[in-house]
Amino acid sequence: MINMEQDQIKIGWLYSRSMNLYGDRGNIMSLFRRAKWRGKGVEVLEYNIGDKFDFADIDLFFFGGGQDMQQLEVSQDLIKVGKKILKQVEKKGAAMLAICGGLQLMANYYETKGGHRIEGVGLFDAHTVGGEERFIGNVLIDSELAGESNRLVGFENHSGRTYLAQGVQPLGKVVVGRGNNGEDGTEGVVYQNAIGSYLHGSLLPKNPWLTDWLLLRAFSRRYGDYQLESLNDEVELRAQEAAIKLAHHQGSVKNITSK
Amino acid sequence: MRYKLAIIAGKLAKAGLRLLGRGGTALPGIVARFFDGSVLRQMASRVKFGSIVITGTNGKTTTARMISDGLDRNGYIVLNNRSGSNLERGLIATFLDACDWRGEVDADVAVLEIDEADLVNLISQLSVKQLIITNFFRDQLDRYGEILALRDLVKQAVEEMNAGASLVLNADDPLVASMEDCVPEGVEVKYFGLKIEYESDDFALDGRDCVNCGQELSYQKKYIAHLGDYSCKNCGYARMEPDVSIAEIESVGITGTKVIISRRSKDDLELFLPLPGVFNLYNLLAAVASVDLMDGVDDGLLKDAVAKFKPVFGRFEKVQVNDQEIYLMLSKNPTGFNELIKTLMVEGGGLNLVFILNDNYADGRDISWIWDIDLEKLRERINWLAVSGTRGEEMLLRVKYAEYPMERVGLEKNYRQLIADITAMPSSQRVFVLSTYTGMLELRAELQKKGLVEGFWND
Repeated sequence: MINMEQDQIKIGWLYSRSMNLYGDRGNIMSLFRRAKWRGKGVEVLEYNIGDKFDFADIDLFFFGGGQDMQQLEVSQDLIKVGKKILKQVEKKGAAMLAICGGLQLMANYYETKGGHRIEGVGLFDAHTVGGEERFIGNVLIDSELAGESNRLVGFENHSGRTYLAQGVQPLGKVVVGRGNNGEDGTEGVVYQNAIGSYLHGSLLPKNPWLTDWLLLRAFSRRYGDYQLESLNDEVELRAQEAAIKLAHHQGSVKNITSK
Repeated sequence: MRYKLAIIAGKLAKAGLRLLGRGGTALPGIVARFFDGSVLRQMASRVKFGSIVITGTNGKTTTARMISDGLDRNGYIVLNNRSGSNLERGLIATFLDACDWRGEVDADVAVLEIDEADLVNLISQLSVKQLIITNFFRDQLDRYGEILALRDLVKQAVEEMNAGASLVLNADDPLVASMEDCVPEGVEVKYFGLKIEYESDDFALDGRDCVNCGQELSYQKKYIAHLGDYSCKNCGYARMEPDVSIAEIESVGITGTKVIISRRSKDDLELFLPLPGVFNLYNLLAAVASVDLMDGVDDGLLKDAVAKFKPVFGRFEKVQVNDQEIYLMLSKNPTGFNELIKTLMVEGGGLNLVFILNDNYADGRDISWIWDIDLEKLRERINWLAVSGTRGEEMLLRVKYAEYPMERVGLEKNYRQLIADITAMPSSQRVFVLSTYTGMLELRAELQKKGLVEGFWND
C-alpha cells in the first residue's frame, strides 16, 4: 500500500541500462531501503538514451560505470541532456552519486590512450586521461565530507587517471589503494551535493553514513530543512570493518595487475 | 630427443609427487616444459583424433564431462583435464598421464576445458578438432578486464583454427554466435540452442546490443540473461537456426530434466538428464552437438551415458550425511547464481541454505556482483540460512538489504562449526550450499576430513 502522507524523493538513475557495470544496483538498493526503514519513500526513475525525462523533478541522480563502447554512446546523449542535469545539481540543489564512468563523464573530458577526446558535462572541474595499467583492488579512504573524519571502503577497477583542478575538493584521501590517479593521493570529487568516486563494491551498503548524507540532501531539496533518524547499523559496520581489514591486508601484499 | 627427455623428467616429477602423497600440482608440467618448450604441442599431436576444447564463462566443466562420458561409453579412449587445471603446465601434466615413457600417447581424443583468456595462447598447440564456445557472462571482471575484451581474445583463438576442424557455437548467445564471421575457411560451424516455451524475467547485463550495428536486440524468447531467440530490427541480424536443439521438456525437477532433443541430420533423442536447471540444458546440447560430430556414435549408448551422468565437483554434487542430503553448488558470477536461485525455486517448501562468499584471487577479488543477483526472490522461502567465507560479513549485509528474516540467518566463518550446524539439523532436510570456488574447496576439505567426500582430484 502506498501511504500518500509519506515523504518521498525521486532518484534519477542515469543510463541504468548501459552504465551498470559493477553492482550499481547495490547503491540504489541502499538508498531505497534506508529511506523505507525510516518510513519514507523513494521512487526510482530510470533514464536511458533518448528517453523523455523530467530532470527537474529529480532529487538525487545516480550515474554508474560502463564499458568503453557504452560510455561513448552515453557521451553522445549527454551532449543533449547533460546541461539539464548540470542545472539541477548546480542551481536546484539536487544530489548526485557518480561512480567510475559516471564520474568521468560528469567531469570536463576524458582523453583516451589513443588521444581521442570524449567531452564530459563539466559538473566536476576535473579531467581524465587513459592509462596503461588498470588500478584494481580494495580501497580505503579517509573522508572529511560530513565535517568529521569518516572512512569509506570499496573496490576500484579503472584505467583512467582523473586529475582534479586546483582547489577542487576530493571525496577523500587514499589510505589503501590508488584512487583518482595513483599519484596525488586523492580519491573522488565533491562539488556541492554531488559526489564522484571510483569506488564500487557496492559503495553505499557498507558505508551507510554516505548513503544518509545523500538521502538527507535529497529530502532537504524536496521538503526543506530535514532530519533523518538513526538506524541500527550493526550489520553494515561489521561488513565495513571486515572490508577495511581485508583492504589493509591485501594492500600490504603485491598489487594484483590484470592481464 | 628433447621431447623424450621432457617426458621422462615430467613423469619422474609426477611419480615423485605421488610418493609424497600430493595430488594436482603444477610441478611436472613445469619440469617437462623446462626440457622441451614444445612438449605440449607434441603430446597433443599424438592423440588420434585431436582435442575437443570447451571454453566460455559457464558450463565448461559439466559440458566437458558430458562429452567425455558420451565418447567413453562409445568406446573412445578419452583424456581430460578434469580437475580444472587449464594453464599450459596443467595441460602438460594431463597429457603426461596418458603418455608412456617413450612419449606415445594412448588416447583417441582429448577433451579439454580452457579459460577464455588463456585459449588464444594455447590453441595452436592443441591439435584442435572441435572448439565449443558455451556463453559469455560477467565473471571475475577484475581479472580479465571487461567482457568484450574477453570475447575479442576468444575471437583471436577462433581465427587460428585449422581447416577440417569444427566450431560448435551457442546460437542463443549473440556474443558467441557472432563468432562465425571470423571463422577460417574449411572450418565447419554447428549451432546449438533452445526452442522451448520458457520465459525468463532476467535483466541482461551484457550482450543486449546487436554486435553488427549496436542497436538493441529484440527477443522473441529469452532463456537466461541475454541468451534466447533474438533478432535485430535495424540490420536484420538474427539467431541462427540451431542444428541441435531442445523443443520439448517433458518434466522438470530438482533431481533432473526429461527432454526431447531434435537434430538436423539425425532422429530425435529422448533422454533424462539427472541435473536441474536451464543452464544444464545448454551444457547437454553442446555435448550432444559435439559427440554427434565424432564417427561411429550410437544414440542408445549416448542416452545411457547422459542418464548415468554424475555431477562434477560442486555442480549440484550431492553429499549424503546419514539421511540428510547436502547439495554443493558452485556459483561464481551473477548469471550462474541467478540460475541456481531459479532452480531452487522448483524445490517446494522452506529452504535451508548456505552462502559462502570468498574473495581470493581464484574467486575474483571484486564481490560487487552479489549486489546484482536476485536474492530477493528467495526472501519468503528462507527456513535457515548460514553465510560464510572471507566476505561473509558482506553477504550478511546483502541479505539484510534483501530483507531476509534475519532471525533465521547466521554468520559462521568456521567451516567445522558450519558443518556441525548443517548436520545438527533435523534429518531428511535438504541443505543447499552455494559457494564461490575457493570456498567450495575449503568446505570440501573439511567434509573430506570427516570422510564425507573424496578429494576432487580423484573425481
